[in-house]
Amino acid sequence: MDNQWYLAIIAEKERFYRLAYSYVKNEQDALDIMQESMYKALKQYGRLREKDVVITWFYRIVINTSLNFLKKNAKNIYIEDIDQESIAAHPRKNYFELRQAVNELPFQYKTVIILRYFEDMKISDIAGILGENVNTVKTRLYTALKKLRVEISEEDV
Amino acid sequence: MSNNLYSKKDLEVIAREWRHAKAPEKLERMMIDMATQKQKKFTGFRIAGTSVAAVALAFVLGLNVSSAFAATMRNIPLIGSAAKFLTFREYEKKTDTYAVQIDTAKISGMGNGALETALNEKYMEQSKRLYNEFMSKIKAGDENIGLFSNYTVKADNGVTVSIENAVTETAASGYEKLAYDTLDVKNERYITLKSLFVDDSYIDVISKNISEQISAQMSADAAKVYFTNENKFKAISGDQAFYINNDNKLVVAFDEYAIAPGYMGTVEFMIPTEALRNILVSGEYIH
Repeated sequence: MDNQWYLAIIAEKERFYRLAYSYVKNEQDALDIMQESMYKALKQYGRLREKDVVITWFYRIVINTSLNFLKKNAKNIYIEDIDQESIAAHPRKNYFELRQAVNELPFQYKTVIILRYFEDMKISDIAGILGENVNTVKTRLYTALKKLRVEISEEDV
Repeated sequence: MSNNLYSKKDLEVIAREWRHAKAPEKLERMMIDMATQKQKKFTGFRIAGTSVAAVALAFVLGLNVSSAFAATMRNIPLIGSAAKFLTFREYEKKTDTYAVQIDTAKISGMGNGALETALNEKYMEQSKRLYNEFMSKIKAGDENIGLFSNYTVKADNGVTVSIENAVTETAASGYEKLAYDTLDVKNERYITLKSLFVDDSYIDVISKNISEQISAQMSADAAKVYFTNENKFKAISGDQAFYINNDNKLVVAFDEYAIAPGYMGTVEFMIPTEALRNILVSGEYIH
């Protein structure tokens, strides 16, 4: 019974894949990250104490694997911050620009935006995945939204 | 905040697109395969995918666009005074976890070309096969492995030419295998061991000579060690690896570990022509 835990992960594969893809922006690298994540999961599952958090746990693996991948591949060094000039030059509302801006967010901001708004997760769950406290995640989300120029109040993230 | 352009609703529009993005179909297959084979002991996947893809592409290009290799030809000796022997680096890649270096040989300018075509195809097939086998090991998660294959003209005495293909695989330890093609370039003949002799007695004659040489070596030099257990040398095979050296002598070769411990490496025995005199078809190649 317990060896079926990975079916829960496989059932949610699209979410993990999309997250990996958002970091590396190409299929082959995203598949590689998934493969390595799966490998780590298979190896480490035995040491996982709370078996009911397998999804959260696998998210963490995918995020860490992606981060390692980016660090290793110099060509993929992520942009530290959005180029404010280029946004100011296009002050029109434009979904392409917004998508682009999400794409170019630094790693930790992109992660919280995707998990919170794209995957519709609760802040407490995101905190669990990242191993941070809820307030840190909120602050990070608020900063990320500001970078994206999304109108929002701090209480409303 | 006049600076802001978007609302949470805008973010939701993008989120909907996001959720429609599908993973490639092979993702599920891969995950299931990995999960159900986990007892197969994966040793790690640390290979960047782009590099594997690039490897495959480079290799395909390498095989198809021969002219591209003009620049990488490393030596162009004439063999048998007329034909040309080229080797080129078919594929080379070194990462943290593996190294592969596959050379291919190409012979040209040999008469009507039937033999050289057959050999060139064989060399190309060999390179492809080595590459595919190696890459499937990588895909299966093998780490710290290496594969090196190269071709050299082992001997050229003006009558026969012997081309050596050395394939070395490294894992925890190394393993070298040798193969030879011996040709009569002028007459476009491929020389097999059997074809040199009048009948099959050559197997016994050569085996007996090698056994004697092994005994003599072991008693003369403590550093020379051959297996004396069940792997002890008994007899050559009918198509044992051999070449004809620059002095027109027959040399019989064995892969690493075949008849001796690893530190002896690959071993070879020059067979004195006197021992073969009565069974040679002619003195044309060996004398």
